[in-house]
Amino acid sequence: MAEGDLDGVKNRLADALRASRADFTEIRLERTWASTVAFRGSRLEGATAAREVGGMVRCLNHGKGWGIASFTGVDRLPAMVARAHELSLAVPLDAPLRLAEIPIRTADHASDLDGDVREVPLAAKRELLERLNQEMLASDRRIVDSRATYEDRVVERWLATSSGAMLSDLRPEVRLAAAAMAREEGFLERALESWAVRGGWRSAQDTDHLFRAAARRAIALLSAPKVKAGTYPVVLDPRCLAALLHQTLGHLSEADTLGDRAELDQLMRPGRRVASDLLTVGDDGSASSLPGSMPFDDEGAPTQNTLLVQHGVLVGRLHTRETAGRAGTRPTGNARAGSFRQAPSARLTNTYVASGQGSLEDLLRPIRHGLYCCDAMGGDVHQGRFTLTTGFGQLIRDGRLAETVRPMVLTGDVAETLQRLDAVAGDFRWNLQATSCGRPASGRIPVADGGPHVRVDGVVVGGDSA
Amino acid sequence: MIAPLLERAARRATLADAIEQSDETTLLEFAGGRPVRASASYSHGTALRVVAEGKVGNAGSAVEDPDDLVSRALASAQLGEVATITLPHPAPLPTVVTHMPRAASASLGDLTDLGHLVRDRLGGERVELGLSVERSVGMVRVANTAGLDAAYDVSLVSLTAEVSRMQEGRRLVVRAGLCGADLPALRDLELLVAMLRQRLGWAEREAEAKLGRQRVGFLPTALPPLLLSVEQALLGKAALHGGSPLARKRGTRAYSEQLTLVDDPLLDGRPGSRPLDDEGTASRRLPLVQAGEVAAFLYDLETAGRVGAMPTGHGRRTTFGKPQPACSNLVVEPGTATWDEVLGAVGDGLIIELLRPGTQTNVMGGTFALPAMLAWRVQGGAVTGLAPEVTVAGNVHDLLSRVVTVGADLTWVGSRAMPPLVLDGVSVF
Repeated sequence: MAEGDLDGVKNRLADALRASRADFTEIRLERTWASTVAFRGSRLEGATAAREVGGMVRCLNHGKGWGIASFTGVDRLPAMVARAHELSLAVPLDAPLRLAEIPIRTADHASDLDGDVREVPLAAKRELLERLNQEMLASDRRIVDSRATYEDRVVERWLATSSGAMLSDLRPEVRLAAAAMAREEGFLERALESWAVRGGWRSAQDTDHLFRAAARRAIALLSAPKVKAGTYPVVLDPRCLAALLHQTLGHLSEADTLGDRAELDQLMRPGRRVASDLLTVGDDGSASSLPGSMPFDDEGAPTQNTLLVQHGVLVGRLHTRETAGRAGTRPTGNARAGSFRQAPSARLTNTYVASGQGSLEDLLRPIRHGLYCCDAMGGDVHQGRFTLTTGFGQLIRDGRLAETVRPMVLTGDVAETLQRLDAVAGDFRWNLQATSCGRPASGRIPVADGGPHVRVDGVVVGGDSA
Repeated sequence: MIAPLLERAARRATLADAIEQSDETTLLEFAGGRPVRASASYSHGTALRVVAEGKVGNAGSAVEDPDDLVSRALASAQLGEVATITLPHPAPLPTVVTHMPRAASASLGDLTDLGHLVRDRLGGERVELGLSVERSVGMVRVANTAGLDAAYDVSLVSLTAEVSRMQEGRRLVVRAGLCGADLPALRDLELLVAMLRQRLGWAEREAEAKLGRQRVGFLPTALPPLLLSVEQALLGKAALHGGSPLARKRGTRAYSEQLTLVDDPLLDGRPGSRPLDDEGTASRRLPLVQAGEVAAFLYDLETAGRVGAMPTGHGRRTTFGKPQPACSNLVVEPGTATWDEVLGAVGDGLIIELLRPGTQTNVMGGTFALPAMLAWRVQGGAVTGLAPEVTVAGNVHDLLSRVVTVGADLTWVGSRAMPPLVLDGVSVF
């Protein structure tokens, strides 16, 4: 595909669709420009620019399953259409697959490139990151090492189906990550900060605060005490809350996860109360300029704001065309794939907890001895129980924030913990961390999350994560 | 395009090397014992590294455009670090099986039959069965401006089976898999089915785990998330930057003398087998930990150049990344303990079959707290039932200095071969 050869691509897609012998054919093509700069300490690890072109064909025939072929380059497209058709014929199904209808559209979308990163020399990207990294390293003699990464991507996508859809989209993305390592008297601590937007070079300019914050926190953790294991009233910051919701209700709202497991389907049946009535959760792929934002998903369905939990009660799920067809409902614009190498499945986009009332101070005030849990380094849910490792925290003493404490592990039964949520502040914000979500079958996708501060009356804290 | 690419690069750079990789993968996914989805993926890519004016640059592309790739690699080198890279010269390569024509030519029907074979042998078990069969066929070609130009073919077949059922309000999931250059042998498939049946039998009873520090046996399927800490600590790059807890410990005892770890790319037909690494260095067997002593670190060309070490042949490259040191096939040498002796060594404790990875906060440092997806209660040296909802925690580097017993049976999990290990002092909560 030559640069700017949009009409050429459309003709190629139309020709391939006409030649397909399958009952339904869907073609995705992608062209990606990406660059990465990385420092470790003051040493440049690498500065590279990459370009990639590839695609995926999915074919479906009556009474048969999906036949899928992915490929690099575009010259193989006609052969891949034939191959996907042949693969579909090889999987006879007892119950036919039904794809829910979506609006048939032809549209070309172009996000604001916000200073097109493709036009910025690699040297300028290195210069930016080197300055930020050096500032982090020089901020305190106790900062002994660092890792700093700049990444940008512009992805041009085309989606065409034998039903008549012909869509294109240009999506920019820029990410920065800072890790500061601090050492004093044999103690080594690490703090991470990251940031991502669907934007470009201009957005990346005002990011000094990330690198300062990582250094400051690594220093603070050097003298931070461990938390004694026990059950505490906790206030979760928007990042910690979002990580908990993403791992729990978020993933459990992805309809194809539920489709495979009858007990999960039952657990997440609409109308069931899963949390305190203060909790409302949604997923909004149509929100503006966030990492999970896009005009249409990887099947061509328009993105939307989907409520998942309203006042503590399950009200919605995230669907692809296939899961919506099975459930007799409409797709929600959540069919996503990490790249042309993966078939889409129902995935989160920008997941949020709706704002409540009051401030962080209001949430802290009644707590005599508790914990303020900030950020998250990782988490997991298994058999209804979660574990979540915070990035750091602070003690709450007599209704006020006190000293910084080391990262801790929160654990408990998901439903019981969310039922004990007793206050939601009115300070909603989107977290612009460079968060991504991975699944073996459909790849790693950029996502965002947001929420206000919340208070939970009684969470089991396992103490120091180390 | 590797030859014209290096020709062009040689005109503008002091030295250059490249890797060209192509792959065709067919995947069959089964549900309810029948295929429900069939997919194929075709990929081809080339990665180029140049050294120009003493500085190193990398670029990759899936597009056949040598001029563009050379320009991007040179642009990367302009910003790059000064590096001392000595390219390997052409030399006779060791012989190792990486490709089996029978696997490469297997039809979709042959792959479907493999899945049916497992399904039919599991007949009678009241479980939900998930299966996948994947076959990759590919080629790797490595060349450089020192005259090296070598290529080899690859085939890889993997079969994964997962049986599950609801039990006491929880879902019991048991997984097993086979992976190698050839189609799996009937005997291996039957052993896999026997193992699944045995686990389903063990799971018929539940037995509460004893909490606190105790002896825990880790089956090979549970070991990869723990061994990852050791693998990362053995990377020459990690030792160079001082982040590795094994840095400056070469030749000294770091672990129990029962522990010997070897990287071996010359084992026939395994996922990490290859006659040369992705930078052209001939493959060789490399003991990494010998009876608990740190024997060697893994180096790629660039890291070896930085520390003045000999490259060990562990450069790994993808199309879009720079070469990085990485293990090929990692083998934990087996001990002598029979299965009964392994259980006897655990005594009153746990056997962990599968861990949920992903919550380690400090992989190289070795600290972990991982929920078990599948764990067995052991009492009086026998498995007494399924131990639900346990999490194991500790520090890998510390626990590997407290190896109680090493089993005699080696099991391959991807590119790692491991026996069961019984470790003392594991926290269970």
